[in-house]
Amino acid sequence: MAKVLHVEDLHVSFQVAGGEVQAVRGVTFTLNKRETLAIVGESGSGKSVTALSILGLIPSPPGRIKQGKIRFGERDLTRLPEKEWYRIRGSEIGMIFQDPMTSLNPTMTIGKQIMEGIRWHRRAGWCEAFQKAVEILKLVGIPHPEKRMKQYPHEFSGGMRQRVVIAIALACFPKILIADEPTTALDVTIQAQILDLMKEIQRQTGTSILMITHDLGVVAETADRVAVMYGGQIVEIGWVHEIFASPRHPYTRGLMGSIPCLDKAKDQALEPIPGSPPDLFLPPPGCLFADRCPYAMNVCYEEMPETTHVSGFHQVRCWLEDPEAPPVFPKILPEKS
Amino acid sequence: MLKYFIKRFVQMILTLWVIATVTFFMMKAIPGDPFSDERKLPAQVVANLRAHYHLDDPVPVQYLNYMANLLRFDFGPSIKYETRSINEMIAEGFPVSAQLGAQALVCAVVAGLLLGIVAALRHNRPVDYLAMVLAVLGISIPGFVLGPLLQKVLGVEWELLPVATWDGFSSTIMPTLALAALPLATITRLIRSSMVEVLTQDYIRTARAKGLPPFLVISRHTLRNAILPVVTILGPLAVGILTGSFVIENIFSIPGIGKYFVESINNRDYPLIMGITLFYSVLLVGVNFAVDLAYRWIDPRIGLGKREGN
Amino acid sequence: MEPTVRPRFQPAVHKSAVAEKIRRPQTTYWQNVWNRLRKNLLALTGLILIVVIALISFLGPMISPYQYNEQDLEYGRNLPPSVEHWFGTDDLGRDVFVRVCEGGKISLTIGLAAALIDLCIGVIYGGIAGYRGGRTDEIMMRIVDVLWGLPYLLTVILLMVIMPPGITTIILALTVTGWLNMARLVRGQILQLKEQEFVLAAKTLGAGTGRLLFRHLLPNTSGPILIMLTLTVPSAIFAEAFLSFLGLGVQAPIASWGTMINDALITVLSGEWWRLFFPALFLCLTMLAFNAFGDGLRDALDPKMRK
Repeated sequence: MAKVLHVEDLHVSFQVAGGEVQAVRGVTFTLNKRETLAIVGESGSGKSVTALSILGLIPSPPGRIKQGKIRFGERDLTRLPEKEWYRIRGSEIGMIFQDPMTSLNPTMTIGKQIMEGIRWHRRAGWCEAFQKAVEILKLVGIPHPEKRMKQYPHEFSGGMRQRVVIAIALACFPKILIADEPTTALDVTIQAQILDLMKEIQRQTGTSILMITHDLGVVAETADRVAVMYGGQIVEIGWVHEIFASPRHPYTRGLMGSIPCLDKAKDQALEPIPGSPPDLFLPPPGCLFADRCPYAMNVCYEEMPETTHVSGFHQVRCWLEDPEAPPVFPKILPEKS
Repeated sequence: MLKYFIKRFVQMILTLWVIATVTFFMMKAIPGDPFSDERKLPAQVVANLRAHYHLDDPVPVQYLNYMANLLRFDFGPSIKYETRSINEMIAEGFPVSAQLGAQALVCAVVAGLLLGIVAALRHNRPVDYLAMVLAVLGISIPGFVLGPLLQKVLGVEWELLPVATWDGFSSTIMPTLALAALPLATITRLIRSSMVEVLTQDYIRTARAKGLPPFLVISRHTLRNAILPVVTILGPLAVGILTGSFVIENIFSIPGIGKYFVESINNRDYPLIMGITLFYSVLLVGVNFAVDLAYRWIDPRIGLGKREGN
Repeated sequence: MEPTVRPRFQPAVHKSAVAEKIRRPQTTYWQNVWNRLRKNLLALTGLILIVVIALISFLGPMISPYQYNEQDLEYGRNLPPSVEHWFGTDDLGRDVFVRVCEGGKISLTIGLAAALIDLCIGVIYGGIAGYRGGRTDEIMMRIVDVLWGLPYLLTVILLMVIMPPGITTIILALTVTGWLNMARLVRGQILQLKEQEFVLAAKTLGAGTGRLLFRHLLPNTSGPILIMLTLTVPSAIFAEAFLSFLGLGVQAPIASWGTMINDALITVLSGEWWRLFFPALFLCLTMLAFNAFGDGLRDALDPKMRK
């Protein structure tokens, strides 16, 4: 598989009163061609910040990439001069934002908003851009695209607006589409439509998708691989079926345990993860999940666990993987992929 | 849009009616009438004058006459300048006041927009602080302090500009500056805060994510949305400039309406005071009406009514 | 590995005390506001200036041996600032310092009184309109809209023309249309807050009208109200000076910054700068102080603006 994007040991910090918040603390992953990689995590786990840094949109100040590389083709995006970004954003990497209500300019017709990117990147004339924009609106499933082009965002429903947001991200057919919780702000029925739409677009255009979400349902629905983020780090990454079938990290297990499931007996309670997400302002040494982890050991509080390869692509960052650790999970061998 | 227009129009007429009525009864409330004052006129003459000006009619009749005259834009006679009607004075003074006011407004809008935009783009940097200090000074120094200050420095000390005449462009510079300072500062502050607000909006991030360079992000996505609120305060700004012109015209001896107005106050020439107040009220209420409609027209969110969502 | 390492892999005792400990210093809303305000140099300067001007205005006349209306027509006319007359004397031989102080008393009194009266009327009127909503709101707000169309200073001038001059009259004239701002603000805020879930929650828990209004709605509008209050003071002070400048404010021999500036206009040409300079300086400083403080308060109450 061809690598499209490779993020290596990324650290992002935000300066706040009295110190810094380490939002991303050494994240490494690869995005392959035509693949959907989902990044799951609670709010504040650093998943959105990771996405924004791939697009060079970390608000700075106070944010700053402190360390690490983001390889995109020949280039390292962390060192890209601002001018180069104007050729990458929107053209080679597109981004779909979470809230379609606020992500569109209320005083500009949606046609103009879509055409803008095409005209800028492709140096297209008005007519050509208009034609392309109409095609893209068709692609994202908006009926009467010619008429809709001249309308303002407030004339669209939430689901339709999200389609417009996708159309904007898609305008120049980027190699990578980053979707930051694209369905969180939508109704459940609309969510499914939007996810189907994204899969369809991927099939037609061959783009790679980086799906940022906190919803394991979305992961199961769309992703090929999944990375679980906690406290600014990837704690587990692997094929979706591997992770769902045999989660290794206690946090991932916790996430699975807190999904409501029809198969479970009615009297079987959901198991929430106790405690609250960690504060990334002056994080302590060791594993940040230790405080909430039912299997925490002394070492977990003292040292950061290393990443362990469980099998092929499946990697876990947990002390339980250490040969010296007591076996706590029934060892289920991952299915062969 | 039409519904709003009608609603707003009715409201404007009501406001004008309140102003006119209040003005009328205020005039009646002042003890005595214009001809019972200090002047020693024979009783017969006073009676004739009263009859001439219909002051011997019952109050309701006077009220109706007064309203009827107003509808014909006739503000009645002045006492001090017996031979001239208020209309004539307004006709004479208004072009001068209008020129001064327009110059000040243009100056305030142009400079205010520029300063505010620069401040917002350099948010929390020296330029921003400088602009904000200037703006706070601008709203804190009244025109009747700034005017004399300019006269003293530019006119008397440095002898750059004429101190108190109304003759040629150079004589309009100082009064324009003195009059423009307050609206300029107001616009600067408003545009800065609305720019800063708009710059944090999600759609600005969307525009950046499209790969647009800062110039396009600002000119296409930020400015238009940030300037909208300025339209809403154009009405109050016009009011400020008008009332400001009363004192500025007086300080700089400019033969505009403001000068007549202040004189009429000093002479207690009630009909003239009321007349000018009414004239300006009509003007300002009209301006506010126009500004409101313009805003509706400019902002697509309001203009297109309630087709929100589904 | 050595046996000493073994305990590392013993199950740890959960330090729940540590887990729930909040590492960042905790602050309440108003503490936060105060902290932000304290860091705003301009706002802090404004606050200090207000206090200093108030102290000078109210204590000045006690220190000075002169009276504000005490004339010295023979020897004391148009004296420049000196040890005896700190700010010099005017054309009637009156001490400018004492007169500036008197003017300050009047300006501050009028500014505060007008702002407080606006506050009372505005909060009650706007509160009722916003809270009752529906028909009541419709009618009350139509009235406000019609009055809103009246140009503020013109109305005040008209009122001053027919009413006998005096401080009470000025305050009255300023508040006749001044409360509209506050009423609109409070009404808008209440209307907005009323729809929010926490109000519904309070209702569900059985909170009555009084509790809802005074515990939930008004405290949440206190920020904007406070800002409006701070910014009403300079505008009232300005209006008073403006009226006095036009000869409609307080009457001679009582001093007001506006009348003093008007009387001293002649000095632009004749050169007794102190007669114009000191009242103008105090007027500007006072307005500046309140505006700067109000701005700082706005920034402190609305952290979004600061970023």
